[in-house]
Amino acid sequence: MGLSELAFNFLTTVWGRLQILWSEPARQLTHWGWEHQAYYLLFPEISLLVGVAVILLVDVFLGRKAFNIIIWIAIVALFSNFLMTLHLMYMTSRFFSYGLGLWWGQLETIDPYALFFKQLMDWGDILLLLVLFRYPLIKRFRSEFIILILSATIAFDLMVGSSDLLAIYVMTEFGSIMLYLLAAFHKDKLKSLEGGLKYFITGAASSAAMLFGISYIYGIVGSTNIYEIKIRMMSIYPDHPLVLFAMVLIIVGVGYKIGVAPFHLWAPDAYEGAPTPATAFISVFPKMAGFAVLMRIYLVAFAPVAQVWLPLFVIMAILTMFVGNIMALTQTSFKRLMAYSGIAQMGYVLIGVICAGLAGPNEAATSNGFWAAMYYLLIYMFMNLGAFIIGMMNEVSGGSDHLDTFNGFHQRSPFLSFFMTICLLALTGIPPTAGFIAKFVIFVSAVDYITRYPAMFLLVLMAIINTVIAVYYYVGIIKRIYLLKPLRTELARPFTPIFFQRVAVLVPALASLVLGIFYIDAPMNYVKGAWFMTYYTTIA
Amino acid sequence: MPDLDILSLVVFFPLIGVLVLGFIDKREELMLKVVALIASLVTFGLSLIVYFRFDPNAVGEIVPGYQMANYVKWIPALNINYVVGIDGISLYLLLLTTFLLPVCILGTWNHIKKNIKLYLQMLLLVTVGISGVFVSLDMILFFFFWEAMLIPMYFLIGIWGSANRIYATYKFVIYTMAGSALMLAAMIFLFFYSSASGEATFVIPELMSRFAIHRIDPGIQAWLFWGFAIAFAIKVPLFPFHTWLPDAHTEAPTAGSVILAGVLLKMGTYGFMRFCLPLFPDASHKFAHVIAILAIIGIIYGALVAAVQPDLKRLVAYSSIAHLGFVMLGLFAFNQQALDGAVLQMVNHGLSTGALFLLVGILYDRRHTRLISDFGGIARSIPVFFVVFLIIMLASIGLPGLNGFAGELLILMGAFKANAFFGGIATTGVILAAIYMLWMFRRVFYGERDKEENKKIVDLRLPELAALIPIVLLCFWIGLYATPFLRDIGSGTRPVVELLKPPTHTVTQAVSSAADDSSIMADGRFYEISDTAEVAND
Amino acid sequence: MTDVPMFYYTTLAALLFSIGAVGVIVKRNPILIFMSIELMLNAVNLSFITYSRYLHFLEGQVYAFLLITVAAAEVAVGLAIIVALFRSKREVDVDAASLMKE
Repeated sequence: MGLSELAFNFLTTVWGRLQILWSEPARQLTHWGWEHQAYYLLFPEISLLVGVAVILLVDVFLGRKAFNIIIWIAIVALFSNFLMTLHLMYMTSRFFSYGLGLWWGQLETIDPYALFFKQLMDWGDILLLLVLFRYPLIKRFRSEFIILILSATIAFDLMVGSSDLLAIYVMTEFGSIMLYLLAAFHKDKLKSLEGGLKYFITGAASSAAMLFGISYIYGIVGSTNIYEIKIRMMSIYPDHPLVLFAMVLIIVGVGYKIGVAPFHLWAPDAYEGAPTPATAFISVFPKMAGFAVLMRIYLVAFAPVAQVWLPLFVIMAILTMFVGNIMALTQTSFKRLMAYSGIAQMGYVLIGVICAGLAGPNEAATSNGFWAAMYYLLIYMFMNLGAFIIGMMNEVSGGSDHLDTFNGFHQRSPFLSFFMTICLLALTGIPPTAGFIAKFVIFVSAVDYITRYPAMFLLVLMAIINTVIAVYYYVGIIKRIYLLKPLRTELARPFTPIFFQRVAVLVPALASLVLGIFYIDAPMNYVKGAWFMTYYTTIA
Repeated sequence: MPDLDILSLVVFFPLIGVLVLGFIDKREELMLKVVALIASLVTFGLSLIVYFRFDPNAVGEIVPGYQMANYVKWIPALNINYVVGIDGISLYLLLLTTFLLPVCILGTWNHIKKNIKLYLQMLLLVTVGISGVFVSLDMILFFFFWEAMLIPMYFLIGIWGSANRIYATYKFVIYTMAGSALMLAAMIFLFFYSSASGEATFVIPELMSRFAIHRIDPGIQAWLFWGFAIAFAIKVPLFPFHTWLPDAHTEAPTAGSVILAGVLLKMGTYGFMRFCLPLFPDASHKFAHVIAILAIIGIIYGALVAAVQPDLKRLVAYSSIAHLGFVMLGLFAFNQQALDGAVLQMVNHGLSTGALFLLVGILYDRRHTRLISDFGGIARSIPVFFVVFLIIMLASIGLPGLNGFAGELLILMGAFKANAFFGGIATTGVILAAIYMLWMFRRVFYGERDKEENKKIVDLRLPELAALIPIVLLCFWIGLYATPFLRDIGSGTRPVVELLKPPTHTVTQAVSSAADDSSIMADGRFYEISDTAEVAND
Repeated sequence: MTDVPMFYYTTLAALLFSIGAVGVIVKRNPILIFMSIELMLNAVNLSFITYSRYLHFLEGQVYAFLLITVAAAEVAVGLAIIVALFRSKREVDVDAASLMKE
């Protein structure tokens, strides 16, 4: 038993003891009845909502001097959200033999799968907020910025738990509206507004398309509940011609949210125009929530008709990887480069989803591909967020997000340069970083199917080619940091980030390093524990 | 906590050096160098313990066939284990790696002026990666070190290289990544394939023993063979994949070139030995001619291009391609002599070419030029340097009594047994090597000493001499008395040769299976070759 | 009511949706694009109500109300962005919004 595993066990044990202390009142709470239970299960989101309300009040009464207080309130709200999700995770194992279940007329599910994403987003948000303690590039409406981020987090929290197509739509829309505002946040900058407008138009049109698809599913099945759709799909409608049509339309909607080709066109513009913290937010959280939803729709509801959507996904994955990587090669703006590279990264997650789809409707949620995709998202959050946070520091100290400002970055800040290198190596997938393990598990899940499905061979080959293309531009940034000289002499002036920013850099960068070297089964088991999402169908 | 074994200690000891260096101030250059030197010497000392503990007749306890092994669960979820062990093949390569590290630090004692702390750290890190490759017995662990080694090498070439360094280091990284991504997929496929006969595993000896009984389907073998072979061929480098090598060698700082030529290229040939030959014997036989022809093209082409190089370092780089061609030819002759010779030649090449790069680097440090035309008649200015260079060059050519001869002779003898035609062509490579080396030698050391700078060159300094003398001694030792080396190497190559023998060896079986299987015809050719080799051995 | 087949309604919905989708792709004025998006959303509403009526599930009609609300919220944000863009540029054209084309 390794040291890290020991520490993890210790922490979980301590946490378990704490839980027992307050479990009695909680048990009474759950015995009140169905309605009360529903609100009890909403506590994570309510804590965020309270945070938003308090921030609004503080902003009104204390004004802009209180910005640090506002960030602290947001962090506390997010942390209490995290504690509540941990508690719910414990409840799922203690009081119920399966996931906590469906509520609000089966619109939402609380299962480890949803809680996993909720917790991840909490940590990511906290890291992002730590940077904002000193971020001079957003001057006006700073507290509104925090509110938008928190609101979007509420939306994504509910989105990952949605088990009804309608709930998925409404929560996606809620989150997207917050993102449109974040993208167009610099309302005096034309670029930002343009990016926001493009994001808005494509987003709105795509969600309309998704809705049309949902209406067809409703017409065919008579329900929009994920689990009911699965049962019907299994028995009655495997080859209904409209099913394909509806599924394509739903892919359009979800695909826009996660930014996979050919639905990626908004991404570079929205990324470039938005303020960089917003870009970091857009580049990670909607993708995670989107994938959570995508997997819930396609690996539960549409898993019985996998043969219909799998070819589409294979094409999408190949396109996504190639478009992302090839477009990233020629970019000169850091944010645009990260936009395209983020698109390419999603291609790998899609491979995991495809493998889970190949595993069949009942094995999808326990298959290698499923947890490979989840693990990739976990690592992706850390490495991409780390790179973005350091990119923000570079933008603050270098004056723009042009890649040239990275030239000789190690003279400005050896600390940031070192961790940027780690994050970029992780994104490339070079050991000894976690990015390697993440890509590795994706390959493991895909290679398993090579002998059975020739198309998978093609997919693996394409993924291999793309990892090599990606080396070029990621290593290109490392080259700028260490091998090139600064453009201007003032760009060599030392820059020291404040304590909280150092923390915000250290945590994701070390996570994307340590999870690769001192590999522990804990995160993997954590991910694997999230298989609950299909429990209802296995009962049925 | 798992037990700490001696091999892991050898591999990871430089990391302690890296950490200690991290706490020393940047400006204390002497201190930094001394600490790095001590770390490297301790590493070498530890590897000497490995050498003295090594017993060619031992069976191996934890991992059969491998000594001083350690087997620790690393990633149980994916059945990846930390497995290290050593056999006759990897023993000398590990020793070579740890030996060249202090040589590099001493040999370039005063050459590096810029950011020496990071430089020393990178040197130590690259050694961790390379020695890790040679001892790891788990495919993923192997891959781990294989790729991790890239990062410090990238910085070594990129920061301390000469003018065109960024292009060179880019090319090096992308070539290597291209090959290794394919290799990773092949490894994973092998992992799943092994589940047909027991639990799926990444452990190489386990795979070897399983696939010795349950042969992999020849069609799949061919795919897997090329998946691995391309990665290794890029590293070696085999003829069409060689273009990164002259750039990387020429642009790298002296220590980088020494490590590149000395051990990094051996990772490729070692990979062929560890994966391609024992795991895919049928495919190896099938594609032996392809590889052999490429190797011979490499030998001739490398020699011819080396002959016309105006740049000393580039000349040595191309001579590397030719030498590695010999090693590849030896590997794909499939008999005991050739394989022994190939492993010995890997070590020889590491010593002589490493030393040549060091000498050229010293010359560059003195004169800041590497063009042959800038020199002439310098034998009189630097007599000690001249003598050392002469010995090393003769070793590189393969003069009897020096190390190059022993390796090349064994390889050529083995190659003649396998295929006299290929052996015959390859022999011309030896002659060509003598021609270009001696021609270069004449232009640099003899002739008119017409340039003023050439009269004032400083001879070898003490640390440089301390680095070179052990190499010279080793060259003589291997050249004059190679038997102990060959005994150890033979204990490692013998199982590989066994695995390479066709599965049906008796006449009755061959006849009975030939009756209904037409594919035996394709293989029959190789039976012939190996049978004649057997007869010759007896 | 029963004498109008369901097919008519669904076809109408599909037609409206297609017109809206084509409008989004073809039109250059953001306001017109908005109108096209609204058309798409209303086609969805029609489709939901049709299925609700003919399959005798009431949820479909509830969904329609929900969608109207969500669409209103969406348009409010979208129009705000357009107004801001118009203020700083005095011109509303998707083609003119091309600062970032490379």
